Amino acid sequence: MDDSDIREARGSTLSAQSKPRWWIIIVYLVFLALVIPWYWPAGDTRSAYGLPLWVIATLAALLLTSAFTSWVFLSSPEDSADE
Amino acid sequence: MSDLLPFGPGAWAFIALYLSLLLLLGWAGRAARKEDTLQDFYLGGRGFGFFVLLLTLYATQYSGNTIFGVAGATYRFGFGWLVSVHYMLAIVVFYLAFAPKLHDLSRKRGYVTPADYLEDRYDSKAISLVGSIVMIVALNNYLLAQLMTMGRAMQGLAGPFGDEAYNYGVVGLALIMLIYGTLGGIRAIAWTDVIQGGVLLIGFFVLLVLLIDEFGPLSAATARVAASPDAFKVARPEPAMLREWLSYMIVIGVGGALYPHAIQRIYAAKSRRTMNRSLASMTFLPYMTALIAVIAGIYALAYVPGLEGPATDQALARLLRIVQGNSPLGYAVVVVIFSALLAALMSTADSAMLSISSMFTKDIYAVHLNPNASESELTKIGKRCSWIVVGALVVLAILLKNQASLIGLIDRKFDVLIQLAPAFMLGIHLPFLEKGPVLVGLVAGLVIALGLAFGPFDFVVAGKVWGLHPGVYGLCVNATIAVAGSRLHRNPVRS
Repeated sequence: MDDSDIREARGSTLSAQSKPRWWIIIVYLVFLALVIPWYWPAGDTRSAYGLPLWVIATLAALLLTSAFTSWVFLSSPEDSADE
Repeated sequence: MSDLLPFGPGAWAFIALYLSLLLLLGWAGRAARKEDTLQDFYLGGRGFGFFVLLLTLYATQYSGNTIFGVAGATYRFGFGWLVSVHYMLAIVVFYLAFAPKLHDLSRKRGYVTPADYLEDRYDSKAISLVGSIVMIVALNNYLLAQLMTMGRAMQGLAGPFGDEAYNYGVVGLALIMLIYGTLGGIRAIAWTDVIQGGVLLIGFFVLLVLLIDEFGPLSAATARVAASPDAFKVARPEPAMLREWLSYMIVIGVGGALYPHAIQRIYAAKSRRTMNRSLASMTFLPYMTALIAVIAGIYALAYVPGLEGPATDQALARLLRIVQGNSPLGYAVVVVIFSALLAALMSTADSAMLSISSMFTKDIYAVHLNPNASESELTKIGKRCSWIVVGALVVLAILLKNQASLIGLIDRKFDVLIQLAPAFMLGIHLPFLEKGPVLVGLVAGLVIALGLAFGPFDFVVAGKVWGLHPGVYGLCVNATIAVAGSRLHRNPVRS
């Protein structure tokens, strides 16, 4: 085992212990595309319930992001040793 | 708050009662102390349950700036400042990148400060020292901003004696914070956060009800703005502003998650399950706070038009003054909102103060100045450090009276803080990351972020390059050096 292996072994001990759920990043990229309203027509002045429609669209996407994040936290593995 | 009418004796009695309660909790925190150790003083024995953890995270993350800074920025940018809701949620999302694993490690390896992880992970005193300095500088900046806002809050209520009131406000509130913080450590601070977080939530709710009651529905305010010369503030932001949205989400999302006092709360959680439940609930709090501050900014834009420059940070205060003068109920409600502002300021400032003292004591004093100091000695040093740091910042806050813009201070702090992201967020997932490239990346990121922010460059417009904060460019270079450097460093050895 050379120095590099020792360093990586140390990194492994103090890094991820369980396999990360990388697909979650893809979902967040989709949410990112939705919460920033690049896609909304610039000149649109329509509104509903006192809010411009583009605001409602971005808030709806944001609420979905909140719900998804909440689910990810609640569904992530728990360290039973801590309980 | 400099545009409010002066408070009467009843209002001051209410505020005095609230401040006395904080001191009482400081004493209770001291009585609940289990041992004279850093872990007990700074992490409360790692026993924070769901409710305390949620409210302490909430009260810490939402500062006085959330109320007045966001309302003021909304006044300037209109609905374009809805991004404040986005970046407050982004903080919670970025916790996902490292908090659960860091919590587990902190319990197994006994971390007290964020730099304990860096030292343990990379076996490098240089990385932990640079990390500590970055975090201490960023937090000092933050603490100074809170102290100055405390002064301004008092200044506004004193009429012609505003200047003296600013000084007394900064000194008096800092003193109260120091007493309960050094008496009971993180326990006192977390318990006061529960009160402060509660007052803050109630304050925001009351603010929303008050605005609707006083000025009518939001639709009327929006229509009024749409029919004014500020109509562009209702329209979808221009692409340049949307690039800024992305930048704010990265800079504040990553930086807010890496706040040292937030990391220490991750360490202090009773269990991973508790932490996950608290963070899951945190995802919905931006709608009860930042969104209400944006709505308040829209009301201010509609009903108090014509403010320019720094006066826009007073937009909400102008609105509240109208309410305050209209009825006794309005007056009482403004007192509650003012208390919420104090709660937001103090809960953020006390956490920053304790975190600075822990990092100085554990990461600098105990490692570089007195490695043989006992835990009890270190706790005493930590308390003295709090007094010295806050004392110095109080003097600075008085000297710099009315100098810095709230948002301006925020921007630079996060530019620096996010340079720690590769060391924490990548280091915890990528075992191959090595100390040399991580350190070089960190230093390069800091040089780029600060160089672009303060250098004489024509292409830096309003502190940003093509709508992105200098820290984002620093972070890209930083992360590339850390990852590619570690790979390149390892492969030749293998071959």
